[in-house]
Amino acid sequence: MLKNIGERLLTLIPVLLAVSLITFILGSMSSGDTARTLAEKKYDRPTYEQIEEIKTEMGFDRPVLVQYADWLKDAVRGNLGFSYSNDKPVVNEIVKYFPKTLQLALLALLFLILISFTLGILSAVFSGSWIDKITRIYCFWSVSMPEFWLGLILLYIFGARLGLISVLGGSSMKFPIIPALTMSTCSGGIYVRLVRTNMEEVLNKGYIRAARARGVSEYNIITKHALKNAMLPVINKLGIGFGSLLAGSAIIESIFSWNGLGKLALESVKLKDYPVVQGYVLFMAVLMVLINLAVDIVCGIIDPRLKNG
Amino acid sequence: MDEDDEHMMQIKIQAIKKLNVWFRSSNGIINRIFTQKAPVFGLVIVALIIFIAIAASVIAPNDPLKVNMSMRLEGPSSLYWLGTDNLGRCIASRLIWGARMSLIYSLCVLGLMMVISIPIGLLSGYAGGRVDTFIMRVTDIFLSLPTFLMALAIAGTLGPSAKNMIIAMASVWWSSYARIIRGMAMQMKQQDFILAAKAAACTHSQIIFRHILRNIASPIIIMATLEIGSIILAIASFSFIGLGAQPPTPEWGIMLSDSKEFIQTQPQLMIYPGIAIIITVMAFNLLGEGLKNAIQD
Repeated sequence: MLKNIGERLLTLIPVLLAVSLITFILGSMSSGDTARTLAEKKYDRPTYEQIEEIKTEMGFDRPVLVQYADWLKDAVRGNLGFSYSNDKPVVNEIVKYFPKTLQLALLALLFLILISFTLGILSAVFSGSWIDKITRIYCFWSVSMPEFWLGLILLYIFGARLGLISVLGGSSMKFPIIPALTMSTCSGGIYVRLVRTNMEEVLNKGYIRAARARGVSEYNIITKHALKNAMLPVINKLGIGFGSLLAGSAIIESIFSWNGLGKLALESVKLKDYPVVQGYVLFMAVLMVLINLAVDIVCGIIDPRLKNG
Repeated sequence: MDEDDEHMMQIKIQAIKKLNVWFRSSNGIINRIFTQKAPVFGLVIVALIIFIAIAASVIAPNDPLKVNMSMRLEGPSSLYWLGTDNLGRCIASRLIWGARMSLIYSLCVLGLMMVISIPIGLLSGYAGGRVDTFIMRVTDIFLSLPTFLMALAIAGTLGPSAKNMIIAMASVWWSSYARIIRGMAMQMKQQDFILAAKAAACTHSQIIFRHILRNIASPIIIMATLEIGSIILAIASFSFIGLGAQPPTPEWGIMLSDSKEFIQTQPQLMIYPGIAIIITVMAFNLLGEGLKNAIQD
């Protein structure tokens, strides 16, 4: 087990190197713009010499690989550079904004679990009934709808009409219930389907028929016998889904003016604040990779068969 | 034609028949789709959208870019079917042109993705060995990247424009295609007719492009159809956050982003483009689902 985890951790290194290299090269490709932006901040109307001076000062005139090596050396020590727009360390910015994103993603995950298990189990048990039909329509509709559009509609209903949340932003929300609901509704379809297929498969197995023959109540069959066996692949997928909820919250955060990491990243992209964008992408990549690893470990604990296989 | 050659042809024809059975024969894919209702429905709508996209300049009642400040935020009329937006532009015309833009952009993304993934996938599957291992490692890395984030970072760095959005999306999403194409190429490589082609002294490029690529072309096209829905969604998202097509392009994501300012007073501005996106994506998804089921049966 430990050896497995160690091996998995080793395979993460090339992935992280690739992510960092790509983001770094992207950043350095646009270093001309960056130098200009920085010079404009410093001198208002910079001359060519002043821009060159900034370039030398920031080290943009060195070869890309040398710059990358330096940046990597710092990154390993936990220093991701400084934001161009407010000169604060990127790490501090990430630490400051991340809790909001985590809160949103966790709430969305909770809703996602509720939606997918309720609808998935009901539609598998009452296969062919109206619940099943509605669920199928929901599944189809949820993958065809732009998340940000549902966000706008909910913002209109709850913000402009009911006045429950602020349309113009500001943190009037204590819990990001509406944004989380938006995210989970839109990604729910896939998981509902997954629960439904797995439940259906398990319910057709021999041991379920055997349990029925023994006179076990239908409720116990579903909750104790079927659900436990149908859950494993779903947990696996949900873990990966949690990673994408964390990484994919940028648009929803900016629609609902929820001051999380995603909104910060979107704004940084627009401001050409590359250290923040780089830091964000790297941080999210590390997080996603670690979540995937954690999911594998958890699944190994739940189902010992996977440990050796 | 000598005996060997003829034998080779026979084998090849048989293999192609086997692999393309669901594409051509009487109970092939086309017929199977027509036995299901939903995919036919999807197909009809897709055809309609393609027609609208092609004939946009004829169908649209007004110029989608023409600003008319004296007609701001008007209701529906015979001239402006769905009313006008905040700059007095015709919403219906912008929606109709939006269909064309969405289709053009998504085809560009698909095309670029294919240009990247087909050669890589074919090379990996055909060459095998170390080349294959190396390419698969690279795709592994790309598959584990947070794609939306990377596309965001790339589009942000290159600067906001439709072209850069297309480059960004294709450059992070090619890897899964390359893998599938590699799988198909590997399967093809084991067919007898490839062995025969080798025996007949075909060059590697002849085998790859004439024998392998031609035979996997139709599954590749189907695979592409499956993806158009999600590509259209992604394009709309990029334009919505300002990293895709730029205003005043008549594009659904831009229309939605413009409408955000008027969310309290003019909610209809955000309803129309949203519905346009949903109908289009749903139609492509229905069609794709039908294709998938037809292949799997």
